[in-house]
Amino acid sequence: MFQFQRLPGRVLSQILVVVALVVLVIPLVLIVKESLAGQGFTNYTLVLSSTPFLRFFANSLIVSVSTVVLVMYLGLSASFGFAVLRPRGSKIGAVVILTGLALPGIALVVPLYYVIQAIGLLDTYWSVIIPLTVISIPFGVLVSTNYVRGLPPELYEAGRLDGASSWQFFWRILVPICRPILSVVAIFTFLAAWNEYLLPLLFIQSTDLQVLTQVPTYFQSQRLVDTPKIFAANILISLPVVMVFIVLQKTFRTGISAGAVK
Amino acid sequence: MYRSAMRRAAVLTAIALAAAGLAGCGSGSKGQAQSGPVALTWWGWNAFDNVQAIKEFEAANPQIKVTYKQYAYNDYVTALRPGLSSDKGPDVFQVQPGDLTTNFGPLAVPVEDHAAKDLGKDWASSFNPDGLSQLQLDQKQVALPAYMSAAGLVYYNKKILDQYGLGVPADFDQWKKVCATLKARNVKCLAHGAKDAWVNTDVYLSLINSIAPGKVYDAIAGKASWTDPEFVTAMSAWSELFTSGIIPAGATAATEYPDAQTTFLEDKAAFIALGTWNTPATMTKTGQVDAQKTVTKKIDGLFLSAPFPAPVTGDQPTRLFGGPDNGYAVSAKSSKQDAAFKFLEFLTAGDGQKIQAAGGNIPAITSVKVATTDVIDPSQVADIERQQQSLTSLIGPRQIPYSDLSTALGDALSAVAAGTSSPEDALKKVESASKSVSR
Amino acid sequence: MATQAQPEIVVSTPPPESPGKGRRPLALSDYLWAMPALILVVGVIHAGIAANVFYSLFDWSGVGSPTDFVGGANYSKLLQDPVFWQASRNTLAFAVATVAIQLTLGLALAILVRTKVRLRGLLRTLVFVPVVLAPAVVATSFRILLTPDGGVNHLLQGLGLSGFDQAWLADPKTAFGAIILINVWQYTGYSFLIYDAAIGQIDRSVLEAARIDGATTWQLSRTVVAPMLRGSHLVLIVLGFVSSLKMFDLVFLTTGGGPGTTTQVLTGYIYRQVIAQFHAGYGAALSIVLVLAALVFSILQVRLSTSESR
Repeated sequence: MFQFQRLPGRVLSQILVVVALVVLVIPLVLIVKESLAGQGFTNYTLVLSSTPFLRFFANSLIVSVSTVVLVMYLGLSASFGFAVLRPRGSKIGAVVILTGLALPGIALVVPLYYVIQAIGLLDTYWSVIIPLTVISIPFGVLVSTNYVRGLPPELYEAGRLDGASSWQFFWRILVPICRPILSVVAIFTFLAAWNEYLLPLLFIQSTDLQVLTQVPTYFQSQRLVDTPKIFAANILISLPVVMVFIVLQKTFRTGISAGAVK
Repeated sequence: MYRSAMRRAAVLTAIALAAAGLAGCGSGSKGQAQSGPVALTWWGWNAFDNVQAIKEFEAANPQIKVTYKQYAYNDYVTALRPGLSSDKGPDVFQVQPGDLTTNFGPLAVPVEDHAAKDLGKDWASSFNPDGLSQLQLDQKQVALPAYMSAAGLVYYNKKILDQYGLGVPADFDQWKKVCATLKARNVKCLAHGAKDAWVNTDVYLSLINSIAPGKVYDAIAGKASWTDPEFVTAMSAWSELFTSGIIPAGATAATEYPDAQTTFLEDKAAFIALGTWNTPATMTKTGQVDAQKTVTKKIDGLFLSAPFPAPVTGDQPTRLFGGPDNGYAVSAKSSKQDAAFKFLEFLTAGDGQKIQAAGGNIPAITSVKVATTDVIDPSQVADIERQQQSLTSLIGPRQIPYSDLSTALGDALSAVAAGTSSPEDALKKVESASKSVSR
Repeated sequence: MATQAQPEIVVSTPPPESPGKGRRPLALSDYLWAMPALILVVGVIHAGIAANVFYSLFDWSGVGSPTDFVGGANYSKLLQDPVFWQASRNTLAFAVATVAIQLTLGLALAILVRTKVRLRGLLRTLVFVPVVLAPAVVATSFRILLTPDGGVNHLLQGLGLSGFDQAWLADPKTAFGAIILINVWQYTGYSFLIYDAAIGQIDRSVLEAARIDGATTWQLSRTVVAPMLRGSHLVLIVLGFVSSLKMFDLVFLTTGGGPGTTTQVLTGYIYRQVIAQFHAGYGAALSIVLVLAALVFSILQVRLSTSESR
């Protein structure tokens, strides 16, 4: 798109890109270096063998994927309601959902605990999935609504011509068109769910259901902190999300280059 | 919303208990007449050698299984609040003197009845009296001590001092000279994690207890003002630790564990201000194996302890101050209190105390002596015995029982350390916090 | 931004999932789309906010039930609390600085990857890796890297810049700046991603027309592209502000709010009041202030984005 730069412009651009890469990479390299301190690669094998890593991995996956599916669906449906159908009160509804961004985690946890306990969901996957979904919905609604508003109006003409019901329109036309923004929502929701520490700590008691973010705690007690292993654990925990991003990045860009309207 | 939630929780608990009871009857254990095995949950942030404790307890009590859940301290305090509100939380939980006892004590079952029944009417006499008194609330014994510890010491690396022909300093003047020599050799002097309010407080108490022994406890009780001259002198001495280079630059962002301790163990610093709880890692073979896991360089220093140097030349250094390092309590919401108390008694009055002693901790039961057989160097034996002896004559506790006051003191110490406040101004803020506390 | 035509989609059959909502009124089924999300958010978050309003009226330790009603005393205490004001100033400064820097850098990078430079694919992937790391991981890692003998100072020494090496997080003069830079390092990729998606939607012909008129990349970016991305700017500003308001791990795990209270932010202060000082009622009042601040921005965003689509 900005392909036609003259030479000085191209040189400057190239330098900026290299600088950006260096700045991004150096801390990552330093983090990896720290994770190899002490026992080297054994840190990684010890993390995998002396903690219930795989069990926790499976649990994190269950929680995160469920949250992502729920948020994608609920977020896009709400955007569809607010931005396309726009019944009366949509603006208020949008504000109400967006204000859901406002509450800091620590303030949410106390009342939430009592409610979850009363419903009897304590120590289940749902005790974590539901709060995580709720926390991510405002973001999902925000970006989906923005995206949907930016779609060309011809889209709806096309829908009207086909005589589609709103339900059919949503699934047959809107969802495929929204794949790029759904990828964005998916990535960020997955990220928030995967890295969540406090909620599983408080709401899940059995070790069988515990999630990956608990792994580093196996290497620290108050007076003995095994930093290299904690770093190694953190890197192992971060790898899946990087994978998810790399995989979805392609879909995301394919969606863009394919164009929005046929 | 509250009461119905509570009621529903109570109903669910009752149902769960009934179900558990039925399940217990159903699952026939190996030919015993009682109901099935009891599962206890044990929560803590640094329960010493919990693996060994559980192993020995379960061997002696095959009907009871114990699971330990480890938390980082801040997470522990966060999790404990909701955890103690139902029986899905811990049965036995760790506490320490101060805030935890004040705030969570009411949620514990006072031990007197069970202790009298299981250990005899005379149970209190076998404990270190400070160990019991600092874990009381409203005249009730809400927890029992796990082991005793005291601060007011510095640990030093004798190998380094010998290498440069240095002696152990008795006051700041001597210390500054020692530090100057060390600095010339690229060795840090006092490794310190000034990000941690607790260790800053320990050092400040070491200073003020040397300048005006015991006066700080009057101030804590509201009977003396924090702006009195002795406190200012102590605060100026605190500032001097940083400005004179005894504590190296960057300390305000460093933590005591792991940063300062690692620096000390790796021979990069000659001193560290920790209390008797540091003995296992520095003076016992088994303790050092654990410490080695967190440090990349092989630990080979010769570590001993000495009183924290007096800030004013010629003054006596501080006496030790402390009490129970931590203790354990039984949750009032626990549905397995009998088993929980059995475990509690094991930890605090039974073989659990031998485990502490073997590990190099000073047991709360006065008749059990710290083991000195596992030391790394014979000169450490006398050191350990001296530590145990001084636990019987403490000048006061380590913890400040009022959280607003302790936070204010922590902020003041941090600000003075960073140079963002003068000692006088910082102490004024502490005094106003002290006045706002309801005693 | 396309103007919003009011779509009149003929609904021949109502959506299948309308149990108990009645089939006849056209408008009612339109409400169903947003219903589940609304119910969840209101039921959890708004109920949580209400609970906090409730707690804020008590002097409560956070353990057991609140019994000591004090009305608005927590709020008047808050207004006179110097640490509260300091934390608020820090939070605001943090929000403004990080949003401004991240948006600028994110847009610059999004434009850069569409030029013909080499390594742009690598940049695209790499810029997102820091975003993926848990905030706690980034904070702990940088805390270790920024110590006086840490990786960053070693690097500066290696480059011959040892005049620059400091105790980054320990020195009150540099600690806050260091925290801002850490946050920028981690989250610029986020802005980049949003801008990248939005730029992809820009009609090429507009750019080519401007190009033919002789505009440079810089001029193009400033006068044509940036204005067309207003929607993205708004989204990022709101999200950036609100997430800065809620930022906790970064400060807590690096400086802990110190030295003293110089880098303390609202969330950290709330945490300290509730957890360390057992003042859950006061902490709830502080939380409400935070919620109000976030509310203002959210409402602002909705107004701005709906007004501009008329």
